[in-house]
Amino acid sequence: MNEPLLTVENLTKHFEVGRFGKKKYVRAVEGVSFKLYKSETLGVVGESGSGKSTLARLILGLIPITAGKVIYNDLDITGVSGKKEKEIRKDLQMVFQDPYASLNPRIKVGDAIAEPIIYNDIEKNRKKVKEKVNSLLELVGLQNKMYDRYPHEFSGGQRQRIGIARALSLNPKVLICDEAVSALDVSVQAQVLNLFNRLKRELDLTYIFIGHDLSVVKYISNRIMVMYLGETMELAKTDAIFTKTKHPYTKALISAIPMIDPDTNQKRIVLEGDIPNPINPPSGCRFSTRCYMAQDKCRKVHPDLLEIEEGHFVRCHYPLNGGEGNE
Amino acid sequence: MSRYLGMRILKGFITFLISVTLTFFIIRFMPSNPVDLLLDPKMGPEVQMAMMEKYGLDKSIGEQYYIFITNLFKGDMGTSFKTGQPVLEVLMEKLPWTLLLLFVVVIFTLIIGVPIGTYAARKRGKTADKMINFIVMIGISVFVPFLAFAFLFLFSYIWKILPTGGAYTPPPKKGFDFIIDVIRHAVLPALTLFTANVASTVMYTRNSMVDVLGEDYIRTAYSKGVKENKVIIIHALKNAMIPTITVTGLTIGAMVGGAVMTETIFSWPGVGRLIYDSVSALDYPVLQGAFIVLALSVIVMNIITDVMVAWLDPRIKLGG
Amino acid sequence: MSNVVEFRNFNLGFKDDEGKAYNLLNDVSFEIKEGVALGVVGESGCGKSMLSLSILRLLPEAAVVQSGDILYKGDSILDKSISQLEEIRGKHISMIFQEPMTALNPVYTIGFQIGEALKTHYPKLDKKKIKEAVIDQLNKVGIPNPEARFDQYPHQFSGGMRQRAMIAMAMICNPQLLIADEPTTALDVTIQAQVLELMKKIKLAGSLLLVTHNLGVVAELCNEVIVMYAGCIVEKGDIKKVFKNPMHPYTKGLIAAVPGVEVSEGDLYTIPGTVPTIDKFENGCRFAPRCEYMSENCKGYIPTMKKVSENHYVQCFLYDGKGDN
Repeated sequence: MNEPLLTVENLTKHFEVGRFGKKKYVRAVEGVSFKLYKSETLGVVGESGSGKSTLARLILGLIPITAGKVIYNDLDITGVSGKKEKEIRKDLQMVFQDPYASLNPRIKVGDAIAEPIIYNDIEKNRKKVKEKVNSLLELVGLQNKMYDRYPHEFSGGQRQRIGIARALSLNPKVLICDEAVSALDVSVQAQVLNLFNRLKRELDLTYIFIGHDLSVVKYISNRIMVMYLGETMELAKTDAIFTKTKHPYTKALISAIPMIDPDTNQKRIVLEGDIPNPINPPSGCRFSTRCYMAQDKCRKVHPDLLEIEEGHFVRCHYPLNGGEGNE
Repeated sequence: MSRYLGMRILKGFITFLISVTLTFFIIRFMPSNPVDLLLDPKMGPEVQMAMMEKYGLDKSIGEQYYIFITNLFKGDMGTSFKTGQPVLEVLMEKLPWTLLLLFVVVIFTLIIGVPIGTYAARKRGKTADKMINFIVMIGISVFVPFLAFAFLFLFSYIWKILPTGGAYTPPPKKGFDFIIDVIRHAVLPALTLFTANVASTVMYTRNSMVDVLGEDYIRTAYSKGVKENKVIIIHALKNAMIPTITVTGLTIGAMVGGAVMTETIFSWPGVGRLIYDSVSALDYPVLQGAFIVLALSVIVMNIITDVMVAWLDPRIKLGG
Repeated sequence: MSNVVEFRNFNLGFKDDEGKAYNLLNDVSFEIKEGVALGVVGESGCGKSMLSLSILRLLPEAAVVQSGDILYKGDSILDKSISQLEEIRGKHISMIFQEPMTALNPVYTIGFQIGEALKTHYPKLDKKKIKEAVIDQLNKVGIPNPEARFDQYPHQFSGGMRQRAMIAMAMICNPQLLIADEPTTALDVTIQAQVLELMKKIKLAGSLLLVTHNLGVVAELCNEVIVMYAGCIVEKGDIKKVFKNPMHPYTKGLIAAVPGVEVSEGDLYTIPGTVPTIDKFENGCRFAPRCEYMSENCKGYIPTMKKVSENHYVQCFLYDGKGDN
């Protein structure tokens, strides 16, 4: 069994809103814990308000943590700053969703990729920096001569590749992909997903892959974590999530996927109502207001995340497939 | 909504206090301050002392400020150096004339400017739009006194159809005749101010309209089969007016004192003219009073336009 | 079954800033039959949105019809006057759009906007009747507490609710055809499921033209499908036939590129290259540069649509001469 590369313990983030004494909190992420093992791809799935993007930013230290810990390589990096932070940052990098917004339109793409290399003193020699950038461009399937071009000259898929090249420029160990293919056309998405797989093999990377499209996340992940309203609802190996689904929300998510095969006459689980407001999450189980199997206990008692089978965690009083819930 | 209004009034009040305080200190720290003016070296020291006491200039600046503020809220803004009249009285004489001019200008600016701006937006990119833009550019860049003099020259001097100045030809007539007389005198200054303002209203309306017409909900309205006129007037206009109202409001507020040049050229007895006269006469109390009125009018107009916009836009009204 | 809407050799172009026109939709011909749900799938730049906007003539200014026709119940839509068009819009043919937040006017209530769709075509109805009809419609689309919702504004609705309100607005006059342009793309997955189920209920009433890039959504809602690439229809027909037995290399590539919910090993199939921009379209088949079956034929001219089997057509040189028109 691998040792965890990254451990997240009880990570919590509350955003303050409101003023003049009427303070309200957006409970964006609440008590999330998981381990990330070397060379795996952990998929994180959730809808609006699930907190998955906030989670990514908390792990990378881009926003301050309200509570909880992030441990990387046995080192507590929660709230680390200064020189130490700079060291850690090199290992944990992020690829963003919007290929149009995440590149500065006034900077040549080659320079954008070079920037982190120069800033972190990885390479001081101009020529060597350029060589490194060119090799990165090739690595992601673009050509050297594209160094001097500007972002607007590229398509969405190509810009996403540039973003990936930039994220890889510091030789990271962990790459967090935040909805990295969501804004791309289907065929381009396929190209970028293949690229992610290839890079993982060639560079021995570990991924956290965040998305809302279960089919995409399923394709690329070894394990999947399902989030709802800031909490982890289920975490298990990809296969188990689909064949041994334990949480009613996960089941609803899976059944919501529109199927290409026109013959499948699926009986879809349709959840009632809207996703609640994270300022005022429901009492008890946060999913209880929309759960098609909710019972009294669900509305009153908040369930814990329990490891029902080996490696399979669920937060539910009455998990599906006859697992043992919180009694 | 009433909460919103309450907050706005509170903020307005604080802004008023701050601007009034700034006015007080700036005037006193300017060169050629009132003290030196009043004190004729030929006056004997007792007379000088008496003068200083009368105007409260013998006290510390802090005390003067305190007296100034407390008097202000009692309605006492001091007395004019020039005429000895209470400043408040002077202002009250002049303010109605400015407000009259303003009222007329604003109504016409909106009645004429908004439709033209809307028309230009509908014909964007075409010849009509380009022509209107050209005229607007001229209107915005024209030097107001030049325009005023040009009108004066044409209408009063050459064609002799309109009077050269003042709000009425003395002695003041009675009743309906008086009204006609005032109207005749108001035409040129109003026309001057109107020309300068309508250009920017047309521009704001046009640009705001062009933005709104590009929005998805306009396409939705068309897709329902709503006729073009209704789409423009019902769907587009309400949204497009929001920035226009804000800007118009600010302009009005500033115009109370900002019509200085126009009022002076036409000898229109309003607050603008008062500012000009009191600067020449170094009549500080009146000048100070005029600035206070100006600050007040900008703040009040600001509150009114904010409230109007909040009323128009349900996202603000209901705090969505 | 008669045709509700028919496209005949429709060519649509775009003018750039200098006035030069580029062709986008090329020789588009297809029918929307009564009671049929037709899906239009394709990726960015294929022209599917422009296609849907042309029916009600809601195209942007830069768009220019170059040739061909669009028929509604046998009559040319392109020839109609504006007031004739206004008769059809919202009453016989309605449309819903992708972004429900921006597609609704923020300064008017939902009740007003939905009511307007009714009042525009039935001006004699009084306020009370209109309100009743709107509330009834809100019920039909599953919006709870419709009496209260009637007086609320768009920003007080969630994304899914807004889309339902848009559907209510489009359906209130019982149109023969509903055009839906990416109606669920901007919604969360579970909300999308709600709206899809709603649309399944509704489509039983008339015809549906559904434009989307999501093959799964089309498969669920539609009986027939058109696959578009760079302004051309490359394959069309009965959806089971097209998806189970795709003939065009692009269709095959598109289906293979979607990560399925079945566990798959290895890389996803990808079509090499990217979609060309409108100024870079080839003279011949527009897909040729990316096609693994490309031959010399493909460069000269665009192939014609050939019938491969009953209600299954393909536009590709591979099948030229193998079937009849």
